[in-house]
Amino acid sequence: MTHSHTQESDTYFRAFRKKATGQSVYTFDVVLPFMLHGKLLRSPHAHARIKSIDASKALAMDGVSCVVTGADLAELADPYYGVGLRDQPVIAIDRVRYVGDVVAAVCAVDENTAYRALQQIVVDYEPLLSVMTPSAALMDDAPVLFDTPTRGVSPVIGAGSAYKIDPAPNVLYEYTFGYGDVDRALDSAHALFTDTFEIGRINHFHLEPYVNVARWTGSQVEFWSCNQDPFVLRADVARIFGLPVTDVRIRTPLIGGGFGGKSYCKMEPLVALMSRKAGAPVRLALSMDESMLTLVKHPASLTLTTGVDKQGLLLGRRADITLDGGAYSDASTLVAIKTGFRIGGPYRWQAIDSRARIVRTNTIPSGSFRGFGGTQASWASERQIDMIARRLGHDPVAFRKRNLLKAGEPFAPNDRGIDLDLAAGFDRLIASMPARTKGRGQGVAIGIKDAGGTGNHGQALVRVNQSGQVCVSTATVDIGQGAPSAMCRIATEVLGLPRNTAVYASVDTEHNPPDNGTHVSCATMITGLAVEAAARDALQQVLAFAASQLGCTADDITLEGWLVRHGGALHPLEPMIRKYFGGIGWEFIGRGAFKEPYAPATPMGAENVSWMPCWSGAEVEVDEETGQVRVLSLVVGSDAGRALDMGTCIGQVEGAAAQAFAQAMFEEMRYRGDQPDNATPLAYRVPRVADMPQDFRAFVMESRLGVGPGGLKGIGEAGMLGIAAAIANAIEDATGASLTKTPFTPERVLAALDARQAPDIAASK
Amino acid sequence: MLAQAIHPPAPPHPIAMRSRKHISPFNLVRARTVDEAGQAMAASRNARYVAGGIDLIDLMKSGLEVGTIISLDAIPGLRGISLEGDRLFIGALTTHADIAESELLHRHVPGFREIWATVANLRIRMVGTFGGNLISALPHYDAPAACAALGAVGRVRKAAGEYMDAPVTALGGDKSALLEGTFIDVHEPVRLLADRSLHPVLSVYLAVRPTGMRATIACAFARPHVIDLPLDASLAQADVAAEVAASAPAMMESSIASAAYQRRMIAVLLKRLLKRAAERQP
Repeated sequence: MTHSHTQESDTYFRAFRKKATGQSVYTFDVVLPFMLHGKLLRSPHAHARIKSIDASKALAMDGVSCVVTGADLAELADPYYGVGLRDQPVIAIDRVRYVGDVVAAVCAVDENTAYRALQQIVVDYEPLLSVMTPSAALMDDAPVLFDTPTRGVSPVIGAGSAYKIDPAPNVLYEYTFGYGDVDRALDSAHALFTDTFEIGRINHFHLEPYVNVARWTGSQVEFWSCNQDPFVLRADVARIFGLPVTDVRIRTPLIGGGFGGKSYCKMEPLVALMSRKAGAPVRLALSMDESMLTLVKHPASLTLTTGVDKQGLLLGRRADITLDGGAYSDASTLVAIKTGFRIGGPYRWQAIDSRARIVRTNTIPSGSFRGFGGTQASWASERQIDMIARRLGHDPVAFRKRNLLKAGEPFAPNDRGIDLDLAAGFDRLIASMPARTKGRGQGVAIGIKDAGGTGNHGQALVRVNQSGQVCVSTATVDIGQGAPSAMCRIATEVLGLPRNTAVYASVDTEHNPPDNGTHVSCATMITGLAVEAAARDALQQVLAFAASQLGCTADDITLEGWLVRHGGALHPLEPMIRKYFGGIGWEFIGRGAFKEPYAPATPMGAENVSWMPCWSGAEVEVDEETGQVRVLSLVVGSDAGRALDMGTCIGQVEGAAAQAFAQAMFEEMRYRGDQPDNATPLAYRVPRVADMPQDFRAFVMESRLGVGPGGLKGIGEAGMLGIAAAIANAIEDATGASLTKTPFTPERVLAALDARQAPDIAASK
Repeated sequence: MLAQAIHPPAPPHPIAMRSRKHISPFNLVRARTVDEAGQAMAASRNARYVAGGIDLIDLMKSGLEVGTIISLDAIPGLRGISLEGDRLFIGALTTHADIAESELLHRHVPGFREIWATVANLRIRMVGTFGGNLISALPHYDAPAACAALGAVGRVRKAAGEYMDAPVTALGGDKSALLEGTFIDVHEPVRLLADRSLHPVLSVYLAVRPTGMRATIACAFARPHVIDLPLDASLAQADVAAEVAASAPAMMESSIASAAYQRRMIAVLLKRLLKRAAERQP
């Protein structure tokens, strides 16, 4: 065959063209014969007992098929979901726990009819006292959200880590992590510092709302879903309905953004239940307003006590972290683990002792968000590192460099060594900062997190047909990160074929090999390794076939495109294959897998697969009369190990940094009393192009030390980590005002400016 | 720049019904004259005029039921800016983008055009109308504050067919009234200054004429707070601004900023505007 296309016409650019011309198909676009539409009735109360639900008027309406309520859950094998710990009912059973909790679901011939039917449903509530903040929830006389022990198990952890489920009323989970003797480290310190940092409630604000279509055929259910973890979802639906996983099929079209919001099970079991009761396919497309009531990033309070010796070396850190988990568990356990584990940052310590608690409140459930606890930990840690350096009269840059981990040093005992040169990236950041200007402040930060998941694994198929055309099949979904292009590139590099010979198979659990979901920046690395192995397997099959046809061994030949070189001669493969197989030809089907083994001696229960840095620098100007901050420069860098496509990597880092910038400066979901105050797209402020600093730059290093193909690592979450701290550090540099709570609204900045006259809170020994 | 949007204070979102996918069935009337629009309003139950539709459609998505929508798009003369004697007329259907590009407005009210280039975002500026902004009159909207500072009056056709001129701060209450446009008195030189840097926490406008100044404060109150100032106020900027801040009425409750911060910012932003006025800065 000939390859007349240019490299630019590969999978990546085909995807761009489809998006730009409106041809991309999302779950939102799925239409099935006889499909009904669902609408949800939500609780206006933060906490209430459901005394009764009267849906008779709704059911009497023309076009209404059925109404699902908590009473319908009795037929389910397990009506609860959550990651590890399962406390969220598929639909409220007898109690609602936040404003927006779903109490009834209508299936009707169209959305308008379903919506009108909702208005006919009468719910009799008995309002209960609510707890809207962790401090209120932890009071002795606080109302308790759950009367029974939480179902489920904790995620896997290892040496140095421990957990408790339901350790106290309204506390869902407590994770502790440590090594060394922290008391001794702090007692021996030249200076001790205790500071508390807070971070606000953030919505994912993915432009494609949650959309699911479910259809039953006998006892089998199939979904078209925007969920970013199809095999995880398959397992949850199977458990909830008491089905073998083979009776659950998930198709995942292109996803219009998720940022963690579409990880793990959400309303999919409810859609399946609606469809089963209606006896017809049902589509439930939430509005953006409803998406905003579905999941948020954990608001948090982090108190850090850090000890430093005379030379400015970090000795020990004690962390007490409170994460507001909202009404239900979702992925709170994982966020607690990751926040507690990552609290040391990229530095060398003698001892760490951290505790992270998930406190239940009557607010929107909190769950995974790009960075998974890493943003909370990096914010507090990097802010305090800077404050300590300044209090001690040290240069914050030199202070960090003195304590930075070196390549190969473990982040924690028994863990995988740091797989990059943290100092080199930091030097590049410093060199990238603008020249100092009077009246402006500069701040830096180094965020870090582990990436790739715990004991993660993925599988892949690479099919090569007689014409040298390739089909790569995995469960990694296309969520805008360019995964199809990356997977095709990995496969074609191994096969020595042009990139435009490869296509990426649509994701369907009935056909694709499984993985643990498209999150934790694992796809290119974990599933990429599986693709690389599958491509090698296919290549070996091709070589073995060609050798058999040429009467030699596989060692005697090499592949050059879709030609076989044997000695000085080149043999086209396609005629060789067609001649032997006849008919429709043949496919060489390569299989590949990767599994990071569990390792109980490590804190996470497995070695962390990779380390993800976020070198961040900001330059600001502060209006000291209003408190308004202008970020003039924002520089952010990370390490891709190896950039398969530098433009995509830069785009990932820039996108995350823009998200983090907004969360630092103005983005926040606020409550007034027990009601969300700005949980609508009109009122919730996200970044606009005009908001971004005029000087906004990203760089990506290539350490080649990652475990992925060619030394690559994931990079999707990296740009989130250090931004908030870098900006706050720059504000302090400019004005001396110390910000400890995000976002940095003018009012908060002005309060910090006013507080400059107050006594120093540092307790230096 | 901080610019968090404030949601309309009323009607409250029915949170139990948060789908926002349902727009009630309605009749559509495409009026060709103002009188025809007025007659359609009188003949219809539960009718609303629509221009850019920014606020009306949002309210309908949130459950507002409207029986008849009377589109004003096809009525000639409602869009554009013209000079009528000593008065500048801004048609109700003039878009924000039209204002941001108007040479005539720039000539007669220096400053107006530059301020309007920063209002909302590009998409809203292209569709949203000046009249709609005045009629919706949300606390953080700019047209009421700018017009109040300029002492503008609106020409309104009442439901019964009579016309009247009304202060802009009185517009919006009567949904059956049709705003044709707004008049700004330009018989003497006037320029408009604004500090929107803290929008939507607070915005301050200042109209400067040879005979005096008028400041308006938006975002913190249901309607712009209006203060007439003598010309020499710009000489004691800090004192005047502090006095205005101290005597301002109680602020609306908001989760975006505290009343104490808003009050303090009135003094800061007004002082800056008075300084610009004194120094004849744009």
